[in-house]
Amino acid sequence: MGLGRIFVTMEVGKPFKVSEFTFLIQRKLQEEAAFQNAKLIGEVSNLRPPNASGHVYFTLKDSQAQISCAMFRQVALKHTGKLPGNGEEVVVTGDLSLYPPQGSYQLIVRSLERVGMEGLLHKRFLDLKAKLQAEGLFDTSRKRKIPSMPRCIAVVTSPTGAVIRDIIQTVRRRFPHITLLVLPTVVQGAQGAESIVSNLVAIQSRQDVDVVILARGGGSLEDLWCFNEEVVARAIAGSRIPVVSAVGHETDFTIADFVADLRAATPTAAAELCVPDVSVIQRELDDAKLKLKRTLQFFVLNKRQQLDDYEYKLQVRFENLMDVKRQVLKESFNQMEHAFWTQLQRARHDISMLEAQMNSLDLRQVLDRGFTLTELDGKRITRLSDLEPGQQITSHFSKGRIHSTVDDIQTHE
Amino acid sequence: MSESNQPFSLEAHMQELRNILSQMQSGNLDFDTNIKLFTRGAEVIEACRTYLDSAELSVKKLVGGSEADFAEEEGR
Repeated sequence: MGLGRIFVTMEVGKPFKVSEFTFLIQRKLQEEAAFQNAKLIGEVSNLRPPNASGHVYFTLKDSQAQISCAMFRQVALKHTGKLPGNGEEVVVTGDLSLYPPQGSYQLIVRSLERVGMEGLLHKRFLDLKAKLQAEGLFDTSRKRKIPSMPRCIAVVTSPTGAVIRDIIQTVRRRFPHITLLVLPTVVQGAQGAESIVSNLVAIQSRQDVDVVILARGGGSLEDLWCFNEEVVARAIAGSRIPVVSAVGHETDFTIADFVADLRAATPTAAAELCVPDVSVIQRELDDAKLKLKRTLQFFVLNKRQQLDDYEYKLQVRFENLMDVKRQVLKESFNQMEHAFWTQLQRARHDISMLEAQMNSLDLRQVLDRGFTLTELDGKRITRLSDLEPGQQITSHFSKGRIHSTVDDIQTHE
Repeated sequence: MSESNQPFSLEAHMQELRNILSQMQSGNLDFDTNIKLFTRGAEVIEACRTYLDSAELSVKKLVGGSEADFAEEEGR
């Protein structure tokens, strides 16, 4: 129809050269936006393996039409080993181009997506996911805790590339003393699942391995497919050792991620989740040390204060006790003193009484008043009838005595 | 009496004094004995008084000093 319009604008009468006409068509094709970066869906047919230059040619068709496609080397290289098969449905993006030498037009393919395969894989993914979920393999209760301080980490991944490099760097940076056991694993293609499973099984006998990192870099659903295989899922579920998965990019989810005990967004994140940061630990230790020191200091201070307290109380008690004792002593002394004075007074009184009595019996006081006392043979004479004339008597005076003989006795009647 | 070795006994002296008195009160002593007893009584009284005086003095000393002693102890 476009060609019809071209004809209309041409001068009538003068014939085109074939090449002129062809270039005209070519220019028109290039000017038409709909033909550039066009997206076509169709079935692949007549696909030939890359030729000597690395280009791939095939035909895209549906039930009513077909179009030739050329995939040049640069694009074809991206699909090495996974080119669509004949009859497979694909979505192709490319630019329509005319090839003057053959007068044919073809689509120069920029990219190719295997619609049928993707769809198929996606369905398988969903089916397996539903099945394993129903079995409880994804249950949170099955998830084991990742040890905070593993002795040895087994890494199941490709031995080359960014993934293992990132993991090693992260571990060395955070905690250099942890042993890394790298199990070289095929993580893509037909042998992927088998390789992953055999390594996961092999680790189980290693008593020193505390955690497993199962990792792979980003890729298409096909690239990551082995992580969606049931055998891999069962091997992860059956692992004695906790498994951390880090497959594909952050947005990619595989069955392995669901079954794993922990899913990390990236290989670096997986390593960070498995390995404590030594500087953080150091800081925690420093904190703990300081806390311990402060606690101890506080404890000692506290005890010291208690001791001071006890000492003070003891002193006060002792002083009180001493005061009481002193008081008692003082009272005893006062009582004793009082008793003494009473006694002394009584003694003095007694002596005075005895003295008075004695003085009253002192004969010399009687003699002093002019009386005399008469004795016969040393015995006091109180009655005249005791005397007879001629007896020798002694009379006591105040200042002396006389001896005389009784001449006559006269009694008062 | 025996004042040489044994410590002075107020009670013993008082008893002696009471004995002297009862002898003197009996009334049938000769004059010389009476005088002797009286003299002895006076001696005993004097001895007792001397003893009491010295006892009083020593206690007064003790009491006077004791206040200071207590004060000194409290100051420790």
